[in-house]
Amino acid sequence: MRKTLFIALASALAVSAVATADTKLPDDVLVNPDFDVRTAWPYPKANSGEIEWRPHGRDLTQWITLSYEDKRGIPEPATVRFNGNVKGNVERGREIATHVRKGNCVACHAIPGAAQTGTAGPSLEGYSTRGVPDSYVYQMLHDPRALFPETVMPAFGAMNNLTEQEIHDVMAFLKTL
Amino acid sequence: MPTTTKTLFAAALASLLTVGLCASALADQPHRQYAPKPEGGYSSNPHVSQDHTKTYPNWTNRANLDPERVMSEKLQWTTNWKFMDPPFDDSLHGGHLAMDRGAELLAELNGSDNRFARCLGSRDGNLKGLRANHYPHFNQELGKVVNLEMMIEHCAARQGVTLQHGSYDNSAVSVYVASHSNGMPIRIDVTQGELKAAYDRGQERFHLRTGRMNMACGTCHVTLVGERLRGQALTTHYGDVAHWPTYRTKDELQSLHVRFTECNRNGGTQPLKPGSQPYVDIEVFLTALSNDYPVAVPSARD
Ligand code: HEC
Ligand code: HEC
Repeated sequence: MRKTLFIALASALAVSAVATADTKLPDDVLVNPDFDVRTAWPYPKANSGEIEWRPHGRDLTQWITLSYEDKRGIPEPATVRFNGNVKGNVERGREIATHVRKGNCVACHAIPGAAQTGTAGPSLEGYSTRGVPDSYVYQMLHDPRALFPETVMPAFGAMNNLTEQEIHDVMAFLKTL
Repeated sequence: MPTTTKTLFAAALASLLTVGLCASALADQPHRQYAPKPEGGYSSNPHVSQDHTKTYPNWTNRANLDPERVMSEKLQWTTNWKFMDPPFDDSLHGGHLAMDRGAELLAELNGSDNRFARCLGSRDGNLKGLRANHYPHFNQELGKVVNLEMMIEHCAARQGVTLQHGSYDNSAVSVYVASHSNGMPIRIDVTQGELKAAYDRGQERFHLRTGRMNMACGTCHVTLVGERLRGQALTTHYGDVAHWPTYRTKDELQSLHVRFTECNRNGGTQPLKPGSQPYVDIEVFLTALSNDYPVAVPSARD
């Protein structure tokens, strides 16, 4: 029902194919409420005056945007305490570390076995042999800003980017390097 | 990244002690982070030669790029990709097809009285200089700063034709219009008025960290410049607007704002609509950072 209504509306007003259903979102963000993943992007299909809207690989609407209407902020840097043991799955950890829409650690870090890695952060090759405490790695994955205020490394835990379990999975994977 | 783990770890412990002190004093303001500006900041009257990476001498003259530098895996980023612009690269690609289509579309829209060209700001139908020194500007009638692609959409709509900003046909017309500025230096005045305000806002937006990866445009194009992200080398944002719209070798004719949506997504930030105010402001900012750099289309980029 909602779908047919939306299509009717969209054909009436071509531009409104990209509209915000969520009233809390700024007007100028590119989302299509009809997509499973609302975050959309404009594909300029050849020889046409209309854009083809395509869904992005991940819904990004929960994080702040460049819109002037966006009044959201980000958490302040915080220290976290690590209790107990790493309870993670190595294979899942590898997947998270190498996947663009997940941890994407390889964008910045060289990781053995991964192609096209980045140089923005230190290589993680042989990381398990360096005797770095779990509590340090956990802090880095949760919120590295507490240790490096200006770091480019994302605050994966604090910014709801990786779940607690995913952080453990990545830590388990780092122990194999 | 020459720092070893040991030193990183020690430096980290020291900075832990200071974090408590810098907690925000403005409790009611949402916490936000900015990527640092280049050393020395930005000039209020910018010029392409102020490039913070000091690579400008390597790409000042597109006809005279050093082929060895262009081929060098290590130094290629210091050419700021200008080897994919004409005249250094004069191979035939999708940008040429787009330019031809743009010429046809524009002729149709122009009719017999150059009405489309005049709507874009040409006095006598001549398109010379529109890309180089007429856009972006503050449009009195629309009450806002507009770029060329927004005006192409607007002027087409006045005739009942849909040329959405970011669509292929809109960019095709834009490339064709830009070709009449080939060789002319980009020039906008951001020292006063609405463009100054837009330039200042664009600078702020460029350095605001956003999205799931907490990244600003400046994180990649200033802090990480010269590094590789996922294998791709990051370059300066000076001199970046003089070859747009461009033909991406993944076979996509891209307007500048569509490139912004792609950069946003690569950095994990929800993109905005082409023509949204933050994107226009960033375009003003980047255009000023291309001041005196000549237009060159049709160009290509990987
Ligand atoms: C945007 C780039 C970026 C991304 C993405 C990134 N990091 Fe980092 N990482 C860094 C940088 C830079 C440092 C060094 C700290 C500093 O100086 O800011 C670092 C440091 C680290 C360290 C400490 C290294 C040491 O030598 O002690 C670990 C561990 C680490 N990162 C793991 C990860 C993991 C796991 C991921 C993915 C979940 C990841 N990083 C994603 C940039 C990044
Ligand atoms: C995750 C890193 C990243 C972020 C964040 C990012 N970019 Fe980019 N950008 C790139 C890469 C990689 C390229 C291609 C290589 C290059 O030209 O530096 C690029 C290219 C560009 C280009 C084209 C340059 C050319 O020669 O054609 C422009 C313009 C641009 N970015 C603007 C922006 C703006 C504006 C933002 C913020 C909205 C932004 N970028 C954010 C990584 C990023």
